[in-house]
Amino acid sequence: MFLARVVGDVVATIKHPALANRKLLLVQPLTGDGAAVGRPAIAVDSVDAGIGDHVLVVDEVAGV
Amino acid sequence: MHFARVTGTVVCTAKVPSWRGQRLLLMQPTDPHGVPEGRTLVAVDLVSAARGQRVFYVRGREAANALPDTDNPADAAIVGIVDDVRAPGEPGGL
Repeated sequence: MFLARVVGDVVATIKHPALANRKLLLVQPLTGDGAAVGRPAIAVDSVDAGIGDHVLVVDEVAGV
Repeated sequence: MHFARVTGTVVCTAKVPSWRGQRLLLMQPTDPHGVPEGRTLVAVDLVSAARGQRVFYVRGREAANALPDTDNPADAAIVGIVDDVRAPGEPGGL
């Protein structure tokens, strides 16, 4: 799990059935101080977040 | 999930039974702008992606869980084709 800021969204018509009707957001990982670190990732939105929101993102592969 | 571009196909006749019928693609991970980052990966393709397309993929156990038979050794799976990335606050756009 990491801290991130929502910076955009991703549009994808063709995707895995498990992602059907799910909003995809572009999230920028942050340090604890709120500074950007590492490359942005795509996340499924489970909390109706919007651009600029600070969020928690789970990723099974640690160290992203 | 992470961005990549499909760069080729992997033809593989003998493979583990849980991968039977699955396509394997070569892909180059990228940043959200499409700039290549890191080394080329082989991924199971679950969305019939084509060479040159921008896609996104999952890694680790999530990749194996995306296949019909979840008891399989995949560590990367392509789960979507990118139509557009919209990031209004990002310099240079995406």
